Amino acid sequence: MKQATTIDLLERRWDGASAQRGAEASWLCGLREEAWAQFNQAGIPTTRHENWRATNIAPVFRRDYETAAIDALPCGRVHEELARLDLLGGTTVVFIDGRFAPECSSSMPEGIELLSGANALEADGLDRKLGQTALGIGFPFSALNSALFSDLLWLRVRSGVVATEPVTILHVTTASADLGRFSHPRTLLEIESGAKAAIAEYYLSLHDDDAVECTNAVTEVLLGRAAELQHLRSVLSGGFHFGRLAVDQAAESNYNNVSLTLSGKLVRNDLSCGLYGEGAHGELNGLVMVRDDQLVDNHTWIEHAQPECTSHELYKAILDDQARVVFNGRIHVHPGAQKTDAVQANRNLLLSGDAIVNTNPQLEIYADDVKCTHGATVGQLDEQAQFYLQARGLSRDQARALLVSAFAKEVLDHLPIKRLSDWASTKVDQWLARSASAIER
Amino acid sequence: MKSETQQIEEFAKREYKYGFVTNIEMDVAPPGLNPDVIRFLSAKKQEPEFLLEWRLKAYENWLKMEEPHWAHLHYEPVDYQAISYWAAPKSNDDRPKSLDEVDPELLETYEKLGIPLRERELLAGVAVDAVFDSVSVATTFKEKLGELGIIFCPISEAVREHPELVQKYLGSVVPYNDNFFAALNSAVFTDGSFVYVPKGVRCPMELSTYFRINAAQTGQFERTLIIAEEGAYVSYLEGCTAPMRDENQLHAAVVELHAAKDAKIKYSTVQNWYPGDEQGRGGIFNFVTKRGKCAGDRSKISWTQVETGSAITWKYPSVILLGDESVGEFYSVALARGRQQADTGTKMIHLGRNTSSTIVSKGISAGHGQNSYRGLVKINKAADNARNYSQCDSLLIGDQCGAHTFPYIEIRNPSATVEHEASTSKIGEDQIFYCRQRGISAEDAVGMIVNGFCKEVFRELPMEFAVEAQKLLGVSLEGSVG
Repeated sequence: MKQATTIDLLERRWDGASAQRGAEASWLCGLREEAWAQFNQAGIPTTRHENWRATNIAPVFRRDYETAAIDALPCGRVHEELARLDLLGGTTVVFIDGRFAPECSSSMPEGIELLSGANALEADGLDRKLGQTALGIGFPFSALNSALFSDLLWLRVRSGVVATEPVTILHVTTASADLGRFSHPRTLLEIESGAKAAIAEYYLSLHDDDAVECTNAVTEVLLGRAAELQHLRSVLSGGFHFGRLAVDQAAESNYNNVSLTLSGKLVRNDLSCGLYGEGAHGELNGLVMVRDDQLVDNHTWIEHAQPECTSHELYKAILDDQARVVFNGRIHVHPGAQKTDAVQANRNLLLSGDAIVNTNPQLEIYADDVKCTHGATVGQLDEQAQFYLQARGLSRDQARALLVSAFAKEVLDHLPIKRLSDWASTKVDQWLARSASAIER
Repeated sequence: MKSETQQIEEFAKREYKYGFVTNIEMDVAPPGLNPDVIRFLSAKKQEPEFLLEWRLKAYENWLKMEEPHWAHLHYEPVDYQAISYWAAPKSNDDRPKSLDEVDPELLETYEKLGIPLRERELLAGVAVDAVFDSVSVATTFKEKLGELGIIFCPISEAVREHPELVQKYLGSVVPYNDNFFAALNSAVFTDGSFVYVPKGVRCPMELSTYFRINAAQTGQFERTLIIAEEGAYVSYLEGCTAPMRDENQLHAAVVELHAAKDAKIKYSTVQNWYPGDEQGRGGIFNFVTKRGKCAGDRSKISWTQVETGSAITWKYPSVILLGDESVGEFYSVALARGRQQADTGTKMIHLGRNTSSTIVSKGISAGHGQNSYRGLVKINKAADNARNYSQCDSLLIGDQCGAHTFPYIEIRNPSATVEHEASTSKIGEDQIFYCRQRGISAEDAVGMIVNGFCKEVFRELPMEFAVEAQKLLGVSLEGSVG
């Protein structure tokens, strides 16, 4: 019954946006219609779908999401929340419920261009960039986003520009316990040839964990020749989250993603990194720390489509209480992608007897001159390492705390920008402090 | 290097050595499957009522099931109504009591395969229960085994002579509604082997069966059931080659192993069915369900397989680790060359405490072959201190083939230690060059490297089998590398 309500809501929203679609460029209208058809054809995935077998998303469709618009942008609240999360300062772009909030945002440094609203959607060349990598069979929520997103955040780092400070992108939801939100934030990050940048994307909620919230985000990343991007993506809100990241890399580009998930009732990320130019390097790293009845599902794809590309993937998870973690990583080496070097590792640490891990590291290889390895482990702390530390005078509790912290922070080593890794490290410590008793056990 | 590449390609294109058809009069049921065929088949085999009912139940379930398509395999749909579900050599009514009475033409078939029964019996001390198509034609060493209380006979005979054992264990590990192919097998299985090792008995010899598929358009539905009672030990070997033909042949076997407390079962397979010609025509479709249950504490089941044949292989020998401290093992070498496709692996289901499992899978892809490892390691909530180690290595020979790894790991117990590793590599030109420098031919070098790659699996095979497997791999692969 409730599922029908949510679907009805989405349908109402689709119908309600018909005037807007009519005003849009024909290619965009076509893209939305195709995406909507794709979403309807695929339907809501169930655990009978291979890619969703360990993740039951039915609860997402058992909530009432309101669509009423907010009157005034709560910039004051946003700043309070940022202060609480230690995210104040630097260049900041704020999106509220999927719409750009210029009042809350700061101006862009030289060489970085920010487009939104009509400026973005009517800009030349967008048709060749938007929706080119994020769509496809098997991504129904990505299709839903394409059909329904109302605003686009298009961040463009101009050719040859080297941005030293990270740009912060905040996707804020105003959902609360009384007012639901089903939002579709859409981001396009374009790093032109030879440019270098660092971008941190955060998804957060202005209200507590009881907020009736579902965020269905799509971020597309285009890297030009020899472009470089450090990309931190972190879910900090307590609701439902569908995140799609699609990266398209040109030759010799370098992409580095760290995905940090510490919150969320149910988080599903579909992250794909396409190495479409020779000599490109892609990294997808992730850290998941979950407790209570949280469920975090990371699906990753690395497409080695051209020769001489390298990729690196490290996903780690720490689970407490009845939490569940799913990891599904696929390295796909296309025919002809010789000299590929791909490394994938998934490590999981269980702190509770009720937690569940499902991991699925996959290799699909159609070229012979390649080096591909993957590994997965699930287990407890190494007794020997613990003994070693205790032999050097640490108490058992201290030794265990140190080992768990080191386990988690290995992922943050892949975040070379100190400001970001320090911030992430603090968040990890805060999480561990709350699970201290489970760690000491 | 180029000349080597060509040479190697020539080797890789070699005709199937063991392709031939034996002309023996067959008693074949009309193609198609319906309850009447099952009744006919059951009556032919003089089966007790419970088995007929079980078959019909399986058939009912099969009708409602869909053929699975999740595997990384592409093949033409199978028309299950075009297959004849019953074929037996005519001489069935008049079964030979010893090898002397066996149809000379049959014996000749085995000669051609290089398995002289008599020699084996005398020299290797192996009891052979040879299956020619659906009906076992020769059983040796039966009396000797009988003295120890070991039952080793065709399952059709066991059904008549030991119905209580069959009724108790048949379907206890692989239920009749387990999956599409197992249900089909349950409905129409014709024959296979039955082994029962009583409490405390260590089977003094390797038990062995050679399977052959012979009649055109005849599906082969083997059913094997091995029971090891408390403290018993048995090692069972299964090996096969098949004649050449153009039509795809369906093979859907079921193997069930039951290990009681402290029992150990070792099951080894060398499979070399016809893989089809260079364009992928013909060749066997091999859809097998193999599963063992470590029912008692400290029991152990070990699967070792060398898969070099078949056009399509769909096979996941599994172990259910129910007893505390029970052990499951899976060692596999799978070769896919020409147009062969293999989707194979294992399932290790940990239910008991202190259970451990080991998976070692070596996949070799050459030509246009596609090789997939697909495995599940599941640690249930009650399986404290469970341990799993998995290793999946792939070797790619040529740039047209594929090697894929799809492990599934599901953990519900924090005390579990589970490790999975996989790597992919090729035979380097530098490796070949190094060997060539030292006077080793390219072909021998490849054989050496491949055998080294598979060593961990081969050393798990019983001696005679290990030699055969190495030879087989050598013949199949001879110089597929440049």
